[in-house]
Amino acid sequence: MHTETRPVPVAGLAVLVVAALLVLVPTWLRLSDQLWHLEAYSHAPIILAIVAWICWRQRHALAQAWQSHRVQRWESVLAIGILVMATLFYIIGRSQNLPLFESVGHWFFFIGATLWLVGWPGVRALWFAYLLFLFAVPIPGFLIMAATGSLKALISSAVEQGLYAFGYPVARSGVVLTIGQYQLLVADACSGLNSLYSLAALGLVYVYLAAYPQRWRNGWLLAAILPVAVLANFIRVLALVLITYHYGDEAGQGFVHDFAGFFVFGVALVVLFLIDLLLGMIARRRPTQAPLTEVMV
Amino acid sequence: MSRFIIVALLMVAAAAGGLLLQPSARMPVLADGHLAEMVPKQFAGWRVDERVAVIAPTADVQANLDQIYDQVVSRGYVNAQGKRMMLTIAYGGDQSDAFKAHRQEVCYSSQGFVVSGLHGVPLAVSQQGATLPAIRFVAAQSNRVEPVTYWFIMGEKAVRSQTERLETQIGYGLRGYVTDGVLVRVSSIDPDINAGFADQQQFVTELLRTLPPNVAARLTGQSSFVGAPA
Repeated sequence: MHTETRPVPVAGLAVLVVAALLVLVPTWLRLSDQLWHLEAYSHAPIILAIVAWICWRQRHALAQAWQSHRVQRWESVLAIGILVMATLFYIIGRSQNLPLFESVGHWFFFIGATLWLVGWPGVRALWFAYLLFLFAVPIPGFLIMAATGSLKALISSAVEQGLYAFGYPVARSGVVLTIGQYQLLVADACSGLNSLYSLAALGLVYVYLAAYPQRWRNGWLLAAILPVAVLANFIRVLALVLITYHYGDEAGQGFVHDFAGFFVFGVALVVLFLIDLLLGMIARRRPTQAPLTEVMV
Repeated sequence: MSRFIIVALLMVAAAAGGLLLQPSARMPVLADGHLAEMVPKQFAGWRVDERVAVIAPTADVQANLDQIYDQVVSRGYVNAQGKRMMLTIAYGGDQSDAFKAHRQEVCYSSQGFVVSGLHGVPLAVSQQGATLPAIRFVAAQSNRVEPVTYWFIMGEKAVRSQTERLETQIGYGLRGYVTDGVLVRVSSIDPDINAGFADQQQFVTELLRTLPPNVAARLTGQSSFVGAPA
């Protein structure tokens, strides 16, 4: 048991950062060329920035672990296993052009390095960074497709019924909506899910930062993320159909290309924020200590 | 301190390995780039009919397809009995990123079709009884019922599942080859699904018999230029 403080390993960290960039930058260059400009993955750079910021935010916890925790044998063995796996995943993914494998490699490097250098307390300090990092991993297209089919059907049918109730001349066949003279395909199989994916990440960050003392409040917020994202997409499709119907095809397309992504995000965030306000009111109504008797003056 | 060095060395090794193991050899281009001329406009009682509309992808999907495929032949045929058959052959010289290439059932459903009865089937591709693993499904939209048969070849091998694709791509890639891919799809509009599939089977067999043998071999995964990964 020794109590003298260990110096911060500045040189070691510097070497590590340089090596990590060798592994990260080639992947990011390719992704920024191939995927990140697609709506599907445009959120990835933001997610990565937030991950970096979380690591910075947790620097005290990491330093604490570095000072007080001696890395155990089991931690070392497990960490080396993870690091070797990271190396293999990365080499295969990088050389054979499989972004998914590359990103999984990054993820394993991230966890393995933390575990080996500062041990389990360090991994615990960064758990949220690992979780969030997964949202920057490109999901294979076929998974997106599998998950979106039903979502699209749900949204197109809801839009049809909503508009029909308001007396619009609307009909639907599968995911094709006919309104007046226009035929609209609730298209790009992914858009709905892509925004779900990034909205889920955003919602998680919101809850993590809010970190309310009341468990139930965090729980309700988490539970609200997905429904809110679906609602936002529904509103987007509704807006698109209405704009096309009233202002023509070009206006509708303009909306899709310039604005719809931001629109969905804006709507979802506002709704989530409102839900949070509501929960906050309930929280104030349900004080955690016994209320003080108010004295009227 | 030594641990930092070891982790850094592993990362450097990963970066170097990722760079050094990149495949660069290209596979021979299907039909030397003249696929459209080689696919006959008339054979075995079928002739091209411009009025048969082949399901074309929507604009946003098309942009994506242009990235995946270099040569696309998409035609409607008609025969003496007035039967209609749609044929699409799409070739891409670089199919790396195995998760990218198109699954037709997804393509159809994202075009607003309801897809049902998806199943694998051994499709006969020669008189000698050779088969390849193809996929069948039925796409329906209002009163249009369209049975579809398609298959996908990577390099010299017919692949069906995502895992097979991945294995094939990595197998070729680690031997220095950029994997190419070709998609063959036939479909007809026929409320009698089984009759439709039978017609498609016949159409495919006749087409392959009419094509130049080396092209037919490439389209069915029977050619050999590298030695397919086991």
